[in-house]
Amino acid sequence: MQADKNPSNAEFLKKLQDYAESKKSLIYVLSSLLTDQKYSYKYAQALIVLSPKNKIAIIDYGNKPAEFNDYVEDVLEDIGSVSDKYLYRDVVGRPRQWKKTLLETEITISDDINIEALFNGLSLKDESEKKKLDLLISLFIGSINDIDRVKEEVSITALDKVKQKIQLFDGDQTRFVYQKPDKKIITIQGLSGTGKTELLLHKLKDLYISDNSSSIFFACHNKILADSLRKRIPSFFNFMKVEQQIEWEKRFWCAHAWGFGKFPNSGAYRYMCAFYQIPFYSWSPQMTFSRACTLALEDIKAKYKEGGMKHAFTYMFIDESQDFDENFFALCELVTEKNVYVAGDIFQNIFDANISSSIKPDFLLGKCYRTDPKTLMFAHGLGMGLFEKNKLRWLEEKEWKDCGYSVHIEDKKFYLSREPLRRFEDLDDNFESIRIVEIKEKYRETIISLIEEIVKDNPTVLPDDIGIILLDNDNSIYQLADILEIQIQQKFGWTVNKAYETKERLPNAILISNRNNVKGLEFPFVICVTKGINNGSSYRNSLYTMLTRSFIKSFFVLPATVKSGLTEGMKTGLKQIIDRNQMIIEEPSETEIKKIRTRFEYRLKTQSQYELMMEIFKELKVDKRHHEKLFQVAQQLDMGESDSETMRHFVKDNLKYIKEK
Amino acid sequence: MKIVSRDIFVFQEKDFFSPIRDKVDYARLLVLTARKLILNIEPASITATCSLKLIVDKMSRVFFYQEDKYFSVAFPFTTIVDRRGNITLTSYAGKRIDSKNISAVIAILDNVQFRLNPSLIDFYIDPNGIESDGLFLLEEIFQFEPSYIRFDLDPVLQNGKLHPLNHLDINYSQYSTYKLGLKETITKKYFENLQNINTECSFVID
Repeated sequence: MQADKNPSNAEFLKKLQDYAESKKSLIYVLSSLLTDQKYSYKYAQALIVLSPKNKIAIIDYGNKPAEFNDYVEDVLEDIGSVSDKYLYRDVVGRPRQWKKTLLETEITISDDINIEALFNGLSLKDESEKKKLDLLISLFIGSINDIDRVKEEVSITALDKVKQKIQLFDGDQTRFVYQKPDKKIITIQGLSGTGKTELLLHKLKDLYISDNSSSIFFACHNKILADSLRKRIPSFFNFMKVEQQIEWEKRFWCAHAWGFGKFPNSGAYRYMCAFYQIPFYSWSPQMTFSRACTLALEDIKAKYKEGGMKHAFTYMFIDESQDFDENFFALCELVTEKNVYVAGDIFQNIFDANISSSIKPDFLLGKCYRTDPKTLMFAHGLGMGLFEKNKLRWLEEKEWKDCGYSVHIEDKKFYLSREPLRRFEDLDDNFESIRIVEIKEKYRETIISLIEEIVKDNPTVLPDDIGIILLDNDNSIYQLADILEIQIQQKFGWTVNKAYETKERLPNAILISNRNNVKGLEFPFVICVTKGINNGSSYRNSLYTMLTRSFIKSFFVLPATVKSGLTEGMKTGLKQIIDRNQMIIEEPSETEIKKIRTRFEYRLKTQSQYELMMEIFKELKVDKRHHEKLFQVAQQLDMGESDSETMRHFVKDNLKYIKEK
Repeated sequence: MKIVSRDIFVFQEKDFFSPIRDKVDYARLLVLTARKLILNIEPASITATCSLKLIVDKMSRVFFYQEDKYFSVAFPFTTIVDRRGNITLTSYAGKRIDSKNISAVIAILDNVQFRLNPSLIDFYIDPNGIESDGLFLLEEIFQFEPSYIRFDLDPVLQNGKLHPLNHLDINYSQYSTYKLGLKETITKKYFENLQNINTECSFVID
């Protein structure tokens, strides 16, 4: 909602809001075009009501027909020019053409208006009209899509439907991009895949072009992320048809937070030190980033005791805020004139300690746009061991809610569910987004037959739509990848891209990767392969992240043996998710929760195998001359991810044989 | 004498028959050959016109055949063939060669930084990558003598005695390569015997 409330429309707006909430549908109410933020109109008593699958309604509540007509004409003219700018016109046509079928201006509002009837009157039947409408809405709200991707025709297969789905901001996202902030630091949080960085870019673009004298700094935690963003921003600006040049290092910086001594533009903190002429500290064991920020904060305050402090930046953006602490934010707040926008992951690792921080974020993005809710639920459940007798991780009610779940507790049972996503609304309700596949004979045969199935069901599938992720850590996965490479070439004629060799995504090649090279990637189809589920926290976390890499379907492939760790509980858990769209998890008892907590806290002390084994040696009083041998055995047997209990047993058992010699 | 042959499928030809111009190319060819040898998958139904052949006698060389072009390089790994035909490869320093360190070597060779500056000392190891597994193997490979030799039947560039129709190209670097002219086309067998110290020598008669 962007339009201002006033006495004459308040009732109507409230009804609309209630209707949207009860139907869980998306409704936008605007008084002008949001795109490019430069359009405004004389007549203030009109509303534009937008909702997918319904005609655009422009409503006059001031009852001044002549002025209202001018308003409508102006809006149409502007939307026409915007659609030309973003190359939409070839697809949606000129306003003159589409206004016949997609526009309604004859609506009057009264206090007893029936919203349901209103929308029934507006609803569209024709698929291609609906598609055009989505595109028009995206123009109104500035959620620009790549017109080549979404194309004109109505797609038929599930794959094309999702790929060509026109993305629209949801309420939270629109509000973040267009609402005038009422405080200095704006925080935004969400699961990975909720589109935080994308939103920051939209906001950035908006601020950059609306305020010509502004200077903006975009800070990230690490260099790699900053590098990739630095590349992404110009192409994003091009795509959004920003006509202004980016004035690097004059008006706009994108770098990591710290920086190097030699180059004032190499980091946020470095630049501030240069700007205010205060000492710069580089990293040393005594100088953490947090401390450096505190010192800078004190220096600046001391220097400008009498006032006269200038601001280094107009706006600041901080991505991956979970990696910073408050001193950096305080420093940013001090040196920034207007606003600091902070985006962070709520739950980057399912074994992270405090997922709900004490400070409530201003925008909490609960919806994960990448993955189908069913897949996400199953991945959470599997990752946290919720379907098993000994759960590995337990969240409190509030934490579940922050992760975007609706929670309902009854008889010590948690009923967890997620709202469906617009991205998948064109697919059948019962389309399968996750499946457990048990290997009957050979890994390769199972995987090949899955690819065959995908190709058969989706004739338009491209090689780079499929990702095969091998979850285990040992050498056998590389052999499997080599064999698959040849067989995929023979069978499908597709090139294979092994991500652990190339470190990048290649067009027209099917990707095979170990678990370390898929950060930030998403595929329509993902095949996750493992020899067996183990309890290591890094394994479980990878399991969770890998399963959620897909936006149509994830296959979870593992051998059909007892050893694989696949339990009946997991299968029924999945069945429940599929049949009833919810997870039903028994709340662990007090003692269980305590046990989970201690195990969990133990995990947080990330120990190397060496440290862990040394601790156990100490505890079991193992003679020093046996250490080396035990290390070797442990390494040979890939014990790297074992928890302390397993490792203790392992050491005890092996010790017997070593001593007997 | 051990002989192991493998078909080279059409889609693999670019891996094995791209020109070799430096040691990086040689290293890549070597590990790709090793990968081909240790993966003993059942013969495919598709026909292949190209092949490779490992011959271990006193020498250890691998031969590549593509129509009228043959070439061979040294294959400096210890080869053990078990009764079922499975092959185990070990480097002379004793490092077992498996799919993982082969991929690791390729990851290093394909690395953008490495291509600009092919130094293993300056190579930055990504803590999440597998490259560290390949460093030692690659270092060893770089110390070997590639001993490249190629038989060429080249009607296009033929130019009297300067570029005879049939000739051998010996070594690959621009500054060290030279040709030996041949009176006629040679067979694969002749090409192999030429490089086997346990068979009779050939003579250069001018």
